[in-house]
Amino acid sequence: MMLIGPADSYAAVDRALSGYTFHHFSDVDEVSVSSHFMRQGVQMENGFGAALQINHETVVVPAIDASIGSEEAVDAITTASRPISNLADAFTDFVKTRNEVQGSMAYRGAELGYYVSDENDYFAQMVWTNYSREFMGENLNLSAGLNYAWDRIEPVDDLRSQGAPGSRNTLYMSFVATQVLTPTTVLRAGIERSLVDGLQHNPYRNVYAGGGNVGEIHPVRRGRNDFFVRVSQFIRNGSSIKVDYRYYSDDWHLDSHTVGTRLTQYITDDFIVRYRYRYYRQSAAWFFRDEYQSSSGIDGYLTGDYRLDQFDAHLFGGKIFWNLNRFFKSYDFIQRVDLTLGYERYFNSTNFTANIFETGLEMSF
Amino acid sequence: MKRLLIGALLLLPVLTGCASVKAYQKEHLADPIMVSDFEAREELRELKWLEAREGSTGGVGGAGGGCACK
Repeated sequence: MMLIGPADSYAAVDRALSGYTFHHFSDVDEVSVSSHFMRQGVQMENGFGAALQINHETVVVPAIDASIGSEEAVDAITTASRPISNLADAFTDFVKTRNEVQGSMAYRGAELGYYVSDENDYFAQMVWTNYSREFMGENLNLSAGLNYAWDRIEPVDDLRSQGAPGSRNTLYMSFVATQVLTPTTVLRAGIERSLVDGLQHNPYRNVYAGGGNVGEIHPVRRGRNDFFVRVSQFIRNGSSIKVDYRYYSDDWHLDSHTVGTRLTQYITDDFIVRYRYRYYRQSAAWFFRDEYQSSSGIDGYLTGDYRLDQFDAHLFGGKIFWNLNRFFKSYDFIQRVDLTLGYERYFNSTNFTANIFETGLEMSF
Repeated sequence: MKRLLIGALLLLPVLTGCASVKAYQKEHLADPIMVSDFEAREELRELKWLEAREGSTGGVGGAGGGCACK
């Protein structure tokens, strides 16, 4: 046990935790994202907690393998959505880094946090607060959250588009209830609402409209709502099954349904396996078209964003959690060491596929 | 929004009408595989890349831009 804090108010540390996770994402378009995620947390005996998280990410968008504007490069231009500052660099991979820092403090159900993310063309900040409280003999937990984010977008030089700088503000609210139903069953349900105001299109993406290339334009306002529910059931053989459903709708007339299930099982006391499957289906936004007849689009809006089209998607995979405590018995200061390894595959009806690998090592002291 | 409110209202009787489970009966509920934030960090990372692929994911702000990878 160690003591931290001002000399007149030392509080005992109940638990300290350090973690490192490596996460790798690669998709059929050969876009890859590698993340190094570090986490440090401390929980005091007086109920005060603090956490710091740092994430360093490298994003690689592959080179375009045909001349800019040529028919062969159309897909690369519209889907890779990367800046090209001169003709030569279109034929080399585009690499960018993203650094994120997040700090939070919690005390007796109240939490306050700040997040900042920096890239060469995007700067994002967010503050959030959350409060939760137990009721009915700790069988019901109610939680309310509020986030405010403000982003600055500064497109780098691009030969094909004249994406102007812009900003985006997001206000997000959530209300979540968690109810113990039986000694082995928990129900969790919530609603979320967010209001987004500002630049919401990709400044590097062009759309074919009226026989030419024009920049994407999305409405500047978007109100988003969702409702979700999850049931978790413990099974006597040392496993649990979680089933969840989410319904989403917004004022761009896009709605979606998501159904998922996770089966988590103890193989031994220190080895857990988790399998999952997720199905997702969405409708198209009201201004999405495969082809626009005029450069003014639909009421002035145009999009080449695959996320606004109608499609369905599947995700499945597995993950192992291995407690390595027995290998660290001689180190008294280490309480717990966990290794995680995971693989998931994602594919959708627009012929997009992705492989997601994850490895993690977490230690608590 | 209307449908969301209806869904929330339908859940209210479930949330308020449940039999009380005593603390000593919650052994299984405290098991890591039952805790709701067992994979909370993984779910946050997942939200980030799903936000780049699906139109209804995300929207909570602050997840970085990634203009060039979306």
